Amino acid sequence: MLFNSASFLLFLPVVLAGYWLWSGNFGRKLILVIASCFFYAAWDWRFLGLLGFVVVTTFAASRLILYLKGRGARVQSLVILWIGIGVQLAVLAFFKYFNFFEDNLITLLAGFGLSSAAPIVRILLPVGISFYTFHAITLAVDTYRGKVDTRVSLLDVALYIAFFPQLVAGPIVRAMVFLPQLATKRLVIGEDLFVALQAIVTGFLYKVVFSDSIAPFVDKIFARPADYSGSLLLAATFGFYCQIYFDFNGYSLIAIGVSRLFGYKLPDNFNYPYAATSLGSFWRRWHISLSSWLRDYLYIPLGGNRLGVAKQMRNLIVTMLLGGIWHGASWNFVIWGAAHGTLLAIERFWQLRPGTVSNEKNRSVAALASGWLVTQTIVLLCWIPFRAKTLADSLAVISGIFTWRTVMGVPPISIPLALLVLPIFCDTVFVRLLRSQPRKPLLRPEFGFGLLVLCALAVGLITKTGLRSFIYFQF
Amino acid sequence: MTVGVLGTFLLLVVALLGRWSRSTRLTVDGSTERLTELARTPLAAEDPARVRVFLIALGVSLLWIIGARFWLPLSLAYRNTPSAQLAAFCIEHLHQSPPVPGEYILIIEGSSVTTRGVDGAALERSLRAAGIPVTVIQLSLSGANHLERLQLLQNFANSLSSSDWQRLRGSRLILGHEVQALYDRDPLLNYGNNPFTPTTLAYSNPDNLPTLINWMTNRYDLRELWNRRSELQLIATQFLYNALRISYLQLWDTANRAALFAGFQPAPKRADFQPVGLLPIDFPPDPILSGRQAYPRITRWTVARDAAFRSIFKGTVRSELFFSLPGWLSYEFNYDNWWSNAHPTQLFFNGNRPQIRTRLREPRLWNDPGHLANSGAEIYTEELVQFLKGHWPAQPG
Repeated sequence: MLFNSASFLLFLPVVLAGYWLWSGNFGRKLILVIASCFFYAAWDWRFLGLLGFVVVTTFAASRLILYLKGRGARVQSLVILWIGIGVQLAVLAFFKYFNFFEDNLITLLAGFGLSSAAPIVRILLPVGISFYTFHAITLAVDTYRGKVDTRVSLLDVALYIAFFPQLVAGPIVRAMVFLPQLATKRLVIGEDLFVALQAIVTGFLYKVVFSDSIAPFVDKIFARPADYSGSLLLAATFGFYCQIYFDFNGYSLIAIGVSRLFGYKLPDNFNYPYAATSLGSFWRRWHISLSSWLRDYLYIPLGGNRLGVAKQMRNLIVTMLLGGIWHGASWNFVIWGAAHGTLLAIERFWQLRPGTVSNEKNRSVAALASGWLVTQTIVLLCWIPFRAKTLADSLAVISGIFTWRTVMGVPPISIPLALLVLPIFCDTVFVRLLRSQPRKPLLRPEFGFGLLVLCALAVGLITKTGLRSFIYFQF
Repeated sequence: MTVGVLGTFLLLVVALLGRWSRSTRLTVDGSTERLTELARTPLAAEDPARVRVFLIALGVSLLWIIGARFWLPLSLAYRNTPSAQLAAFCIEHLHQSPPVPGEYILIIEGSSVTTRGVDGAALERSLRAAGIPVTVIQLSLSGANHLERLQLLQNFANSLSSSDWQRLRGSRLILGHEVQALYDRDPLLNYGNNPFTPTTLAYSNPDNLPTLINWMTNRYDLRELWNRRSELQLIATQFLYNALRISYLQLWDTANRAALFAGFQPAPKRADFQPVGLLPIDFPPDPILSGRQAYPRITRWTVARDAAFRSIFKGTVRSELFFSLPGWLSYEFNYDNWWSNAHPTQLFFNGNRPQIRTRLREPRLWNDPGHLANSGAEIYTEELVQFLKGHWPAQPG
């Protein structure tokens, strides 16, 4: 069930009504768990069992860790933690990477003339598996670290992992942020509804108006990149640069807004990444819940920046490489992650030079402008392997742009300039400024809410027809 | 261009609203930007603003729906749909045939069996040649569900000028209804899975909702409605979609008038239709369906449907013609025979009469078990001409 689908338009009010009409906290949480199962089953009910397995194993691991820690058995609790993480990683590896390894093994064997058989088994990818297994790992680790120190119930664990707004594409919420919210009955006032609706309306604008309107142009060019000129390839790459931001940020905002309607707060996932003037800053602004997860649960445990420059470089590259692989089982994502990791390491090395001004506030306008241009160019070019279907397509796009290829005899395609430039520019410049300078409230929340309802209806007017899935659902 | 500019404008408006409000954001480690978020007390749950926001939201939505009725007519957004194009084609045809005193105007509505089986132009030519001044308006559409058929008739009626209405009033307007077992048993047939008009949601016009509810309540009991819940969900969202004018500008933007759409569209023989033998002349009666209760129960609603179709023409319909088309399936055969016996006062042209089936026995005359090929349609239309000649007096001279 997509957020932008008609069925969700019916599903949400029904769940909201049930939730708010029920007075007890336990009943409300149970309603949300049932609704989440229904939401997930709308894709493929067969994977409900897998989701249940992840919930139960996580619950068991966190309870055991707490029990063992309570008895002072630190080593045993660490063993349980690793078993818990191993189980979740095994689930993720099997469902997400089995086909990739099988394909590559067959290719490798064929290279040695050993076999050229077709794949024997194909595994279906359960939607949202990367997100809910990361939630499971988060709970186990946070419990071990003592950040979750109360005995959470199975219902709470189920809701934390399967809460439908964030189930299939995040944001990845920390257990220590979400679980305390489950302890008491959630309260919602007019202001919450205002914030929720604002996030939902903005999310729908991003997704169904901007992203879905750009998508046909991008899809057309990336379907046969070798057929198009360098200028069109560059425009399509820029189109994807805008599309993925509006698509994923749109999804995240709708998820945040919908959660808020139930009284639960989810963290922001984006903070105007296309205003970043360095790669490090970009990753503090893009998919924040994942990048900070990778920082806290991978980069820092690997040693972070505590073990010298060389190991810091290594840690950055390894973290980003794994981040790339997390996105999908494909060499394109490996390249995307490795490129970001390597360039982040180079940037970090550059910033470690004596005399370098790392704080943005102290940098000159020229330095900020050049930093922004270089950063965004890197981000733009790195989206090519992320979007292209194959390695060959990636190379075709890159070579087409850098050789400024001209193609004869292809029917001209008009570039939707207003769509590509106007929304992203206004969002990154004006909307960011408006959001960063909150003023004394002028509107009572309920009147602001009324105006937002009007905006939501107006968004409906210009909504793109036809359903298009969110890009991050494939991860 | 429109989407980019309007979308950006809306984005700025929403951001400005946020600036004026007390919106707060949660950071990844759980801290909020404002302390008031954390200091919220249970007393806040009683905030009367919550009730007000719901009432305001409801009020704004209602105002929107009412305003949209006047300023955003649905017909502008669905100009490129087959039903709108077919209605335009038929209006053009009406204008091309000059009015004659005492003329018949025969409006034929139906589904794909009629679209492929009744050649309106040939029918008109033959009847005129026989001295019957008639204009045939072939308003049938392949795959059209019942509500789409209603919408099609509405499109046609709404496009009539005052002089056209005057002409209808002065003529003998006959409304021709298709009788078809599959359709007549189910008011929701093809509602959500319409292979021919997949994006035509125009028929889920909020104005048509009472009509649809009337049909459904006449046809289904509560248990049956529960069994159709997935379709009901689809219907509800389609009506909401149109009531709120979702995608209106996009549809309006692309609703350039395409080539008009003729009501008679014969199809060639389907490759996988390879019957063994000829069309049977008759079938044994079905003991279950022929039971006195089954057909009346499932077709009770069709009276309401035909009345809804008739009411579109504001009392100008003088009489009705019911017709069915032949087919290879026994239940259609049995249904038509039951219909013929159960409605002795109606003018009914039973396409499954032995005389017609005998002429249509060759498989080459068929497109598939339910639809005639062009040559089959010629024969059927000839038979219909003969039938009408027997019932409508020719004009002298």
